[in-house]
Amino acid sequence: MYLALRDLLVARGRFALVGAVIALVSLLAGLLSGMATGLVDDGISGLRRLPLTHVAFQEGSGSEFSRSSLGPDQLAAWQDRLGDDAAPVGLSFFNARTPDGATVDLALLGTPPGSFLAADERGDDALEAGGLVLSDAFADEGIEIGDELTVVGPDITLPVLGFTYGGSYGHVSIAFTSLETWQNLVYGENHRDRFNAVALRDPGGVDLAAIAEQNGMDLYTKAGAYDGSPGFAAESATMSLIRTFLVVISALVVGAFFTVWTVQRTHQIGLLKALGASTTYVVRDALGQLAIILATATALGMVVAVGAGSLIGGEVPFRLEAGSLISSAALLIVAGMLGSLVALRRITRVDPALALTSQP
Amino acid sequence: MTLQLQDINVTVADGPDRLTILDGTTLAVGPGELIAVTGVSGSGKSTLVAVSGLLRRPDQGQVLIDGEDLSDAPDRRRATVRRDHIGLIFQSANLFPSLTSIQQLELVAHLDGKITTDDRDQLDTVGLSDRLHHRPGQLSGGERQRVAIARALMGNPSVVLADEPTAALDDARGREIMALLAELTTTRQTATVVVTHAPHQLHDPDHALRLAEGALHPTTDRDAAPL
Repeated sequence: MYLALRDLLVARGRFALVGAVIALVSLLAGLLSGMATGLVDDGISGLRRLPLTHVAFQEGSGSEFSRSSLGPDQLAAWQDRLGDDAAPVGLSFFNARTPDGATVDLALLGTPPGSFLAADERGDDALEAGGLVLSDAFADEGIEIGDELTVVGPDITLPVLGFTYGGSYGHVSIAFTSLETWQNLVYGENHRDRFNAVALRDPGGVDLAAIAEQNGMDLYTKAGAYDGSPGFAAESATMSLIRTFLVVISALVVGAFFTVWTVQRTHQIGLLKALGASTTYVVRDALGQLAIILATATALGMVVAVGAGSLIGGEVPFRLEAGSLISSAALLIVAGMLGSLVALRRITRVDPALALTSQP
Repeated sequence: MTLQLQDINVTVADGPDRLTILDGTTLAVGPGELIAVTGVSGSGKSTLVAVSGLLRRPDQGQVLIDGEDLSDAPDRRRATVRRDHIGLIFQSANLFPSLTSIQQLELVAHLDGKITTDDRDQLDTVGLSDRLHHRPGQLSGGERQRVAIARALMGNPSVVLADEPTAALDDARGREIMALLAELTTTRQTATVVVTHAPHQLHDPDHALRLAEGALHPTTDRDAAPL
């Protein structure tokens, strides 16, 4: 690394240019990472925060709440084996009018009082009372405790009893209510105790899959149930595709730079070998130099992404997570190093006798 | 002998045929001995340096450095011998543009990891102790070649090979460089081969040889310009 480090210091302008390109790619990767996480959050954070491990849906419903309809027999099948670790859940989308006439979207999640899904006693009390416990996001829209929201369609008015971090589902903020209220809203008086799915908390030692199969249900893990969120799978696939393209582009950019840089250094590499440097030494020197540029520029891009992310308003679903940022940065660095492999091959083949020719 | 070439043959592709560059070339250089090699352009002088300096493998023949036959040695071993036993001086100084004079020498020490020679002493030896922190672009042609000589002497090599070291210098600077090489050959007891277009710049080589038709021939006509 002796020569590589000094080259970096002396040819600052050249390395700063390529570093800037890598930093911009890294910035883009960081922003995309924030958007992907934000979109995922917007799609399933309400489901993710629930203390369940599995969800059982009607057979063939594909983990979509709106396609699944279960009844007391299926619930009993679970509760016979799991007791309170099985709870019925209804989840539907509604519009509601606020007292000042505005309309808000609700992802209304109904579960009975005493369900393990209710976070605490206050949650249970709210469910008993048959009102609404709203996600914090509704407070930003000016809704307050004590307000009454009228659910459009059935035109049933429900009081706002509290706020909680409920998250969202299908890009709509969650509102909790009792299962009975949810059933009245969805099915009317003749609901026959139907609901969408059974939320499960795996106690261990029980073959959940077998129970689901015996009772004509599909069992999903919590993460597996995310795909049922409207648009979630397509959004995730789109973001993954964009990130994949970005990584490939990054590898090509770094590979192209490193190849050009290697061609320019060919004589110097020959000279190093002529002075007795082994091929391993020369490769290590070149790779070390590239790794420093890649790591520095990528880190810089990510730092700028964090700064830019803090300026993005609440209208855009954007959330940066350290783990996601670090994995994006690591992926870019690995892709860059892989992109440099073509140039490395050239380095290993440089003839030391080149040192005897005139320097270009 | 420190450097020995025995029946060296080197050919290169010339269209569908092979062109012979060195044809049974034999050379032996001992410690403290300086050999001047002249020859017309294209006679194979640089190839002779390349083969002697383990930069190129001969098609046939043996290259021995300090008694070890390295003709068929693996690349890694040849690189190690280059580093530890051979000092190379090139036509243009071939310095690394990003390194100062002292760093050019430190790089060689870094390659080795064992060299204990004081880099500043080396630059003192070639009269450049006041140019330690200058980069090649800040040095004159003669100074650059002196740095190259100091670099070649790092680790006290037993063989020094100089490929037209004064080609880029005026005659006065060229004579200074040649005198320096002659002095260092004596004081360091190196086996030195100087390939040159200007043999008159060397005052008193132990042998002057002319490379022609792939073979080395003794010559006394050191003042004559090469053909």
